[in-house]
Amino acid sequence: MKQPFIVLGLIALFGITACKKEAGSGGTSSVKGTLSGRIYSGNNGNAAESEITQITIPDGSDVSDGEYILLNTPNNGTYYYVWFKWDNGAAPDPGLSGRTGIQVTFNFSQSNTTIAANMAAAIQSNASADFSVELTNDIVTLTNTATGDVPDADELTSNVLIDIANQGKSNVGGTATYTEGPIADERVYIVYGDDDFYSEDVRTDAQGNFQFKELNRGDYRIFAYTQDTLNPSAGLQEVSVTATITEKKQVVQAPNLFVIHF
Amino acid sequence: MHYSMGQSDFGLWLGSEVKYPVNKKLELSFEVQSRFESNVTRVGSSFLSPSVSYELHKFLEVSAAYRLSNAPKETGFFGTETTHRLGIDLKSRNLMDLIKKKSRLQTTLRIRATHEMEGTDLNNDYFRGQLEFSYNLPKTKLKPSISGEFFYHFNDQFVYTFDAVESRSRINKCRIQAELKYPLSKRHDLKLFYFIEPEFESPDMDFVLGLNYTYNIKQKKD
Repeated sequence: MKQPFIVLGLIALFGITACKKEAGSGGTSSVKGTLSGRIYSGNNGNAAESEITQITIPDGSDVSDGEYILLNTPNNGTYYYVWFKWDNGAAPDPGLSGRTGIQVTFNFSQSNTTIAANMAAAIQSNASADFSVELTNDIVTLTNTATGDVPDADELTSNVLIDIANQGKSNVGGTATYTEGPIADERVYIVYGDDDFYSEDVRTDAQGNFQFKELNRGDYRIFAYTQDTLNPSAGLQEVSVTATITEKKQVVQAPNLFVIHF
Repeated sequence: MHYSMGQSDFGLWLGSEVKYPVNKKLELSFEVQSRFESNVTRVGSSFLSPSVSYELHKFLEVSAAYRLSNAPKETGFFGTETTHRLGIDLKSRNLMDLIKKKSRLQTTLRIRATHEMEGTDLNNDYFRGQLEFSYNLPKTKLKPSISGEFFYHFNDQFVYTFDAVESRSRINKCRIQAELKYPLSKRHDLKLFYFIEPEFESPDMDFVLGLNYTYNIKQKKD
């Protein structure tokens, strides 16, 4: 009589123990921290520059119906969102207020190069006054037609990768000065466990705080990019700290991050 | 893949089950099912589920089930994501017999507790209650029924502050189902069902059509 219950129990026990929990998303804990740094506000009279944004497009199978990215322009110009509409899907236009939408139609079987070409064509068609568009395989490169400081483009939670190849700058002159303190709207990245590449990124709030949510128990590396004062020409370097989550519903305080921007 | 807020989805559940009565009180069963979603354009999940039920009393049955589910990533039938679910049911059936013997109208009350693990720290724990009314149509084998069920989800919502993570449990959805059972023969049963499943505090709603076939193995004579 007891045998069926024993068999069922053994199967369930196998199932439970087969559930291997690793560092990553899907949990109930979080890692918080603060990012501060030194910002140089002058650059000895450099000329104004246009922001250059490189957008790397994934295969259609990694694109979600209705997801979107943000594109920006300097001098209070038009702000855009580019959203992906599955040709067989029902996701509505996100309709972000204050932004102009650009639709890119795709399906899950399309290659990254096809979707990149469709995105380039859509941006060219809808925002050619604000961007010059170049297409190289799966990379769409956008150059703001106007020079000046621009809020960086943001891939949000999509699988699209955005890199700022050149920061837009206004024409500035004078002697370089700097201020130190918490840095707002700075991007912070988290690497799960022994991964080589980051899995998620957030931006700091006005007080320089950041928080990564919905994490499992495990080890994490948190980093941001800084410029190297000893070797400014080397470009951006990682500055990182580590944090370990040991319990469910835990908030772990990561050591502070300090960055320098010229 | 995620879908936008506030949309309805039509799904299809196709399953089959084998039941084996060990004796008059104890029954084993094994079920396989595939669930199609996104307007039946993709497989949402497939599972296999062994279970055992025991009749404690004429009106009371207890059962335990294990479910191994598999979800494909984007396309295809199988993927690498698996979930494990343990469930316990307490079912009180034929309640109308307490009032009137052999009534064609019957009522069943089922309470179910499930614990589902996905390999993360976040488990899906549900407490569910279902009330079903069925009617055995005269001069036919058809047995239609309607039921309503609520889903109480433990740790349904999380609030992350800089100091703590707080969770909130709540009834997050309900299911209203119409069902038609038809015994094809002594050992073969067919069940057709349709349900709507609105989510609370969300405009999302699922509409699901289901078909389930059951084969009843002949009981061994003692």
